Amino acid sequence: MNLKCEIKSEYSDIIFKNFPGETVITAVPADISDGRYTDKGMVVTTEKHLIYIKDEENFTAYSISECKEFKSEVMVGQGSLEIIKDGGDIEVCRFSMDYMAKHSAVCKELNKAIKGESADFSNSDPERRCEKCGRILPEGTRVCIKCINKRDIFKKLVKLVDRKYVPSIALCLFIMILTSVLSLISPYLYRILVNNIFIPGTADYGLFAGLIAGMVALQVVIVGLGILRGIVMTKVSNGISHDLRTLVFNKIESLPMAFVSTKKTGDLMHRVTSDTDRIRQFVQNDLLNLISQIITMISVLILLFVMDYKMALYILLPVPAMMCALWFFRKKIRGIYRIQWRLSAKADSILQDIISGIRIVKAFGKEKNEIVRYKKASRDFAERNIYNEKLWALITPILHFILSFGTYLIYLSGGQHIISGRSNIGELIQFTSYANNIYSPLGFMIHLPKLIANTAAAAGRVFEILDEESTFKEAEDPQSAENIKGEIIIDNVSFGYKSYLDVLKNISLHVKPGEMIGLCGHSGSGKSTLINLILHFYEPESGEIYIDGVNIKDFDQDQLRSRIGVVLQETYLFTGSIRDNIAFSKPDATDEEVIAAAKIANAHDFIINFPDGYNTRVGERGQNLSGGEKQRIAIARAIIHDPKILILDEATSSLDTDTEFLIQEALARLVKGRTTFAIAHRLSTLKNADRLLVLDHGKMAELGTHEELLSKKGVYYNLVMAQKKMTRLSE
Amino acid sequence: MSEINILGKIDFVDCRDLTMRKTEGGFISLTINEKEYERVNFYRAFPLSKPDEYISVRDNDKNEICLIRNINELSQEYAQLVKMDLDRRYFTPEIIKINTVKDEYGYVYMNMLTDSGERSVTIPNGSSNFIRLSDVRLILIDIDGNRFGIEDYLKLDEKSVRLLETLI
Repeated sequence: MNLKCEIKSEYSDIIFKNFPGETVITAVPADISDGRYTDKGMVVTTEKHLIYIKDEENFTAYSISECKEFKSEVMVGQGSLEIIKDGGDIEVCRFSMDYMAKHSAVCKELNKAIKGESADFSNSDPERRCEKCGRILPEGTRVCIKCINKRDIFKKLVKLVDRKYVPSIALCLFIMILTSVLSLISPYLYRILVNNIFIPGTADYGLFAGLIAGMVALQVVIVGLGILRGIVMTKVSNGISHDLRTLVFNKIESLPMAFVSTKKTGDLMHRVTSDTDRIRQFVQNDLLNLISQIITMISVLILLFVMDYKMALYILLPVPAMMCALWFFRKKIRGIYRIQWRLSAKADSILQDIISGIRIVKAFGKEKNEIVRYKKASRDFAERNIYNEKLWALITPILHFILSFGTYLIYLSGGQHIISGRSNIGELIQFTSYANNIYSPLGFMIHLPKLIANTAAAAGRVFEILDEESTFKEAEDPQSAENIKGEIIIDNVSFGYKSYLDVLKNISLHVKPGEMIGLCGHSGSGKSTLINLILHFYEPESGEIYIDGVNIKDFDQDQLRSRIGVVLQETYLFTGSIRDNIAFSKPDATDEEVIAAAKIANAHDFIINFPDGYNTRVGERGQNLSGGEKQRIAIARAIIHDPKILILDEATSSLDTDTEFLIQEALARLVKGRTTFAIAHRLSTLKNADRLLVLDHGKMAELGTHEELLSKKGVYYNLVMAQKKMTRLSE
Repeated sequence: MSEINILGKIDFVDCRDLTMRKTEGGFISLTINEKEYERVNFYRAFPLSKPDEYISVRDNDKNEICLIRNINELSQEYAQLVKMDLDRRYFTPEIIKINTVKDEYGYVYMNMLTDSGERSVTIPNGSSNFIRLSDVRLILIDIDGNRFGIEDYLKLDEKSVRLLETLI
């Protein structure tokens, strides 16, 4: 990120005149002043001063050494730069969110400078926009789609099609060319029929029968080729669409949480299923159709011009008018189909929303409201659909009429030729049927904008996923995580989901192998975020995390995850048997291993009680399990995984005492010999922890054993007391 | 035990108990019940539906000091101060006109006129960036987190409505 934006020469003069000997270190625009956007405001820092230049005449300077802290505050829709100093806080200026990250980065470094630490203003964060054209760069990349080579994009598109389809596609192309050529013979046979056979008084029945038989045979061959093409193409296009679906799905699975969590489930599903299907349809029906129609058209055109160039020109006369009309409607159509897709996605996402939350909807008796909500979305979509189709119904006949105009011109001129004896009926018939061979491809092309618009929109959405780069690059020479012991060093880690909003600040912790760390703190204090970093779902903004002395980035990620086990608060069981769910992370586990794991997890007894035992189906349309049962299955899942590092996120919340005891017991067995991070609101469950880390607003508030922290009478002590009070109240 | 109505138990501040002044640095300093807060910040409970009601007054550590039911209960001078500070926190220019909409490579680039001046914004295509507060009222959040409002989009000029309809 460039923290030294370009400044006007007038501003350089201001610095030069008023602050002699100082140089500009950073310059970031402050584009809001008095409630209006401005392109004049600029915050400049030099070695000694922070200067807010409002315009050519006005500026305010603050001596950096007199300031205690610089703050870039995130407001709603804007940011504000504040200085904390003796004698009261000062608001320096305001700016739009465009510059939030830059101001925040400057403040961070300035604060380091005040404290006497070394400040580094050459920020290495990626820029959001292309420096050449100002377009947004897809997250995680520094390549602007507009500014890179177009051929590369095309290559990327073609690359999606597997080599193995090339022979089939070539075969289809050959069939289509053959069909085109064969279909040109038919009108010629008609001409012979009309001119040489259908003459009253002559009777060459042999030739007559032969011609008819030839026409039938020709048609049979064409139909046969059509069927063959259909079969081959269906195979190819379904293969391609299968590849694409898998590709998109794999990509979604591998994308960082940061991307996936910003998209709606319904929207992602739509992209995997409908959008890839749209591309399939395009490849299967439209693309090849287009190619074959173009081949036919070109060959017919050549024929026509050879036969009679004048009449050929008549045929082409209405084409420019049609092309103009096409161009005119294209723009409109792109927009209306985007609206249609948006409404359909909206309806889908509402449906998803309601069905996911059906229990709550029913529990509060709000079915009617939800029906109304969906009905409205569905009706909006239907109305837009009707409108769009109506528009099509209007446009298509008009365009067809413009096209058919050429036929009348041929009749007009061809008819004259016949009357004056310069031509004969056979030729005219041949000519008009060729003309149709031109118009039907053109007629097809009328639909082309619609098809292309639909497909392009779908492809765009698919590419949005495929182009999204994983923020984590696999290490070039990944370290094996096979035999890790589980020593974790968290070294001065800071992190925010948005770079200017720190959720964790300067966390440092050394965890010995096999140690159990309890994480506590108010909700929102950063406990789960810390877990997300240890799982390497996100990368720390500054600082590093080491496991057994190796940076977490340098591990083979798959292997590393396979050494980390999790038991989360929301236990998700996949559709399948209990056995499958326990063996999720180790599909080759033996039945005995599964039972052993279930026993350790205190799950064996209740599983045996089910009529289908370990074969009991769970998940959607399966056996309903209670929260405690699900959790014990999750624990068994973690046990069979045999991880070196274990993460327990509120694993025992909302359970009755008996069940909690069973789970506590299971967990105690599970954590033995494993480095464990446990989050729990119920502090009593953390008693077994070797040490407790108390987080407060993202900072490390306290670290120590239960007893140590109690005697310290700090944040932890207060949390424990508050909970004791709660328990007494509920008793 | 007497019946307690747990709803409606909010203690609103008696606005006559408040004194305020603007600090040199541009913030608000507040005194209530003889306790002085060097700097307070104001938060709207319903920024979209009731911008002038239910204003939470918080100290620098974000602890609530009191709740103002309605800005109009304050004297004109204080109301002015509170509004000034709210403007510091909330910035949602109103869209007056959409000039151009360009759809490129998954992002929509839009140039528009707002009541705070001309502005170009970028929004990702495909996902809905317009929050529909009612059938006609919209809030737009762009890719950087800037916010814009439209009170009634159908009341904009015809071209703006047409351009907007492809996006909402």
